[in-house]
Formats: sequence, structure tokens, C-alpha cells
Amino acid sequence: MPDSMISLTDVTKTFPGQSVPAVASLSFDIPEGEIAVLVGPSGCGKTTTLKMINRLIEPTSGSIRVDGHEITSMQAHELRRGIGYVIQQIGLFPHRTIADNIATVPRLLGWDKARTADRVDELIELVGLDVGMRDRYPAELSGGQQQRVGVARALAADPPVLLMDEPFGAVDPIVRARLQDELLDLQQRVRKTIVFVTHDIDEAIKLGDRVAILNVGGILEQYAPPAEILAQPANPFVEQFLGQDRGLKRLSLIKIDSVPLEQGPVVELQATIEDARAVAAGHDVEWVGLRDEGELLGWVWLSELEEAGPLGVEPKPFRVRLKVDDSLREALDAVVSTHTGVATVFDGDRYLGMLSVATISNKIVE
Amino acid sequence: MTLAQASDAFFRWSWVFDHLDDIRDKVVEHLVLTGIALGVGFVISLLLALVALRFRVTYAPITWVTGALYTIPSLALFAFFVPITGFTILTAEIGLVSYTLLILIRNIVAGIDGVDPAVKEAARGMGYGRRRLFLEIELPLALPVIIAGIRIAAVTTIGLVTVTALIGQGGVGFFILSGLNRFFDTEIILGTALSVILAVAADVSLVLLERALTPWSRRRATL
Repeated sequence: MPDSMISLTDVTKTFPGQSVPAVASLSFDIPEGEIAVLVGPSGCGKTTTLKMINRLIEPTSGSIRVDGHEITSMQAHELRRGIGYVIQQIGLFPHRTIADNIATVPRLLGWDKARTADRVDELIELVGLDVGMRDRYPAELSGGQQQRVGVARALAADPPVLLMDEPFGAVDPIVRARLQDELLDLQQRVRKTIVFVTHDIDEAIKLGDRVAILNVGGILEQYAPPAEILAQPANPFVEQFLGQDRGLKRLSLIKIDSVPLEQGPVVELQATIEDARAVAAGHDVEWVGLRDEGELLGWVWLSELEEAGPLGVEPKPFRVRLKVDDSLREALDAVVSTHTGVATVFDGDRYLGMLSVATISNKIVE
Repeated sequence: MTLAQASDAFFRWSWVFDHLDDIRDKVVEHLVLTGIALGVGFVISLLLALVALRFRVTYAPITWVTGALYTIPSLALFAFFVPITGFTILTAEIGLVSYTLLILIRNIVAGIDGVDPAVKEAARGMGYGRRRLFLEIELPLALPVIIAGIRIAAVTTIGLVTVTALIGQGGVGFFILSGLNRFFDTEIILGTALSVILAVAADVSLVLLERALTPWSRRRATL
């Protein structure tokens, strides 16, 4: 494991007046530049754990180190100025413009005006907002835009660590998916160490380099990369939390280029009916694909071919055209939603090959 | 010529024109009495509100005491203090300030309490200390509610100032008292009208002040 940026050792939190700890003897490390997602049911202590990292909640016992420093060795407000913080309700300051909101931490740190202004412009662009929004107030923005400002504000002083507490929980599914994609895209550029809390296992799998699955009472059930968790759930709780469609979730993590493509039952336009029949029989299907010099024209039923001859039928196009960086889950979707039962993969117009359900399932049962 | 110039008229404009200097002095006095009451009242209220916000258990006793003050009839309160502090501006202000406290404290506390918890959490999470959080975040966001309290206190105080005419202060209340003593309608009407005009003017000014201080609250998404 590379150097860890955040390191929890035996962290326990018992709230006053409660006999059962909210977080019990929790230990895990987060390597620099990775996204670690804390996920689990309500009462699993994921938000408590997150808030202990910036000391909004003080641990009862145990040790938390950020960037090598024990967090209790510095003033809480100084620690927090070095850690980006994004919450679900966003919490933008309604009385300050977008630019002033983003400039919050640089101002607390005493940056000069010019440097702050430059940084604000840079961030507005980084999170994909329009520079014209600089002087607007938060109430004038949509929910998705406000959440982008929230992320920009958290990144303002370029902290190495970002804490995100269900940041996309309050936006609609379409905006959420887009914000997730944007976060991954942003992470490619900024490479922060991110602790991300969610109750949505799909979000965890999509975003996490590592996923920590927590159980009620702050018990860590499994902490591993999502592919590993899906392939080898540590125990029945994890298995149940992952849900029935674990196989499908795994498929969504695997790209098409990681499996061998087949040419499939494809014949040249000039082929004879006998050739076509033989190829189809070889693949145990009732159809063939027709190709004309590398270009895949489409497919026809064998019966049509026998009635009208190879030049007399109009090939039907393959409706779903996948790319090599699409996931096997999308390939499977194509397989089950077409007559031919295959997913065809293209590089632009060039036909690369096809995937059958057997190839796809081989990949996850191997 | 006109009704106003007739000697037995209900309202004699000529008297008004003859006493413009007096009127100006009394209006100024009225504003000074009101301003001091609101200023001192606000400072005391802010301090008590801070105590109440910091130590919640004190909030109930603070509102009991200021609430009890608020229920005392103004006449009785002034009468009580005259033997101690005399017919002075101090006596007037003790009463006037007392009556502002309940409204101001309640609105300051309600205003600060009404600040979105998410905003406070975000601020703390980014490294705001307690004092900066109060001055830079909570107080500005509570302004609309606090100013609403100041408006009520201002209107109430401007009305109450007229009562202090009984202890030798009174601003435009002087005319009302004098008119009552002399059965002179013009003075009564003048004093009452001026008091009402001052109250309305103060209220409008505070609304404008609020609008100027809270430009964010009037901007909403117009997409």
C-alpha cells in the first residue's frame, strides 16, 4: 500500500449517555490520492467517523493521523482549514456571493486579495461553472450548481484531504449521476485523498478506490477495492448489503476490453447459403451477420437468406453499438435486449467483434 | 380667508407656523430620546442574548424578567423612578430602555437560532472559530429577524416617548400634554400627528436599512 494520508487506529466513539459505542475500535488507512467510501446502513457510524477526522466530533479513544500528524496535536480550527469539507445540505453562505463563498478558507488563512481572486476563477472553471456566476448569490443557483460551488469551496485552499458527507444525496438521480462523473473526472486532475460517506452501495462501488462497509455500531465488516468486495464478500452481512445483483455490479466495474472478443457468426456478403448455414450452425444460432470488407452491415435470419438469397435481403442493423471502454454490464444489457443475443463492439465504424452471454459470465465466475 | 386662520378653528395652522422652532426642537428631542433608548436597549439585549445563546438555561429567566418589565404600566414605572432619579432624561430612558429589551432579546435569539444548521456546520467544518462564526455568519444571517425586532421596538418607543412628557421630557409629547392642560386641540393634534409620522418614518427607514444590509435576501433564482 502506498503511503497513507489518513490513518485511523482503534478509534472508538461513545456519545454521552449511551452505553453502546457509535464507532467501535475502528482501524483503517487511506492511501494518498485515493477515494475511500464509507458505506453502511443508518446507525453504522459512517458520518460520525467522517466528522472525527476533522474533529467536529472528538473520538472517545484511539488515534487519527492526517498527513502524518496526530489531529489532536493542533487546534481544531487550524486542522479544519487544511481539510476540505462538503456536506449534503451544502451549507453555502446565503449572504455571500459565489466568489466569496469559494474564497472562505483562503480568507481564513489570510491569503491576499489577488491570489484569492485568481484561485476563485480557477475553481469556478475547474468545477464546470460559468464565470458569470461569480457575483450571484447561492439562492440564484440550481441545486446541482450549488453543490459544485460546495465542492469548489472545499477545494479552495488546495487541501490534501477532502471529506464528503453524502454530498449528492439531495439531488435527483440524473444530476447525481452527472455529479458523480464530474467528481471522478475532477479527481483525475486534483488527486486528493477523499473520504466519501454514502448509504448507496452503487455510489460506493462507482466512486471508491476502496470501500469500507460498516455495520451498526461502527463495526468494519470489510475494507477493500470494490471489485474485491464484490468478488469475495467477507461475510454474510456484506453479501446481503451488496444485494442480489452482486454479479451485475461486478460487471459494471469490468470494461469490455478486458475480455476476448469473438468474431461471431459473421460471413462476407459474397458467401453462399451453405457457408452461412455452416457458420450459423457452428455458433448454434439461427442468424448470421453480414460483412462487406470489414464493415458490418447488419444481420439476417437464416430463413430469410434461404428464401431470397444473400443479395435479396436487407440486413437489419445491430442497434446497440458498444465501445471497448464500456462496461460488461452494458454489454450484458445489449445481449438480453436484442434478438441476436450478442453485444457488438465497434471502434468508430470499424467492427471489432462481439460478446455472448457465455463470454460475459465466464469473466465473473472464473 | 381660510378655515385654519379662524381663531375658533379646530386646527390652527397659524399657531403651528408661529412655533416652528419649538416643533423642531421637540422633534429632535423625541428622536434623541428614541435613539438613546434603542441604542442602549440593543447593546443590553445583545449582551443578554449572547448569554442566553451560550448558556441556554438562562434564556427562560431572562425572558421572565424582561417580560415582567414589559408588563409594568409606563406611567407607574416613571412615577416609581422620579423620587430616585428625578425629572431627568435618565428616568425617561430607564423606562424606555426597559420596554425594548423583551422584543429585542427575543428577536436576536430567534434570529440566531433560525440560521440554517447546515450553514453553521459548514462554517465550523471549514475552520471558523466561535467568535468569527457569530460575527461573520450568524449575525448577518439573523439581521432580517433582528431588524424586525428593532422596528417593533422603535415604533413602540416613539409612542412611549410622548408619555415621558409627564416627567418633563417627552419630545412631541410635550404638545399633547400642553394641549390637554390648556384645552387646545391644535397642540394635541400636532403632537399626536408628529408622533405617528415619526413612527411611520422610523419604520420605513428601518425597512430600507434592512434592504440595504441584506441584498442577498431579495435575489432568487429567476431561471
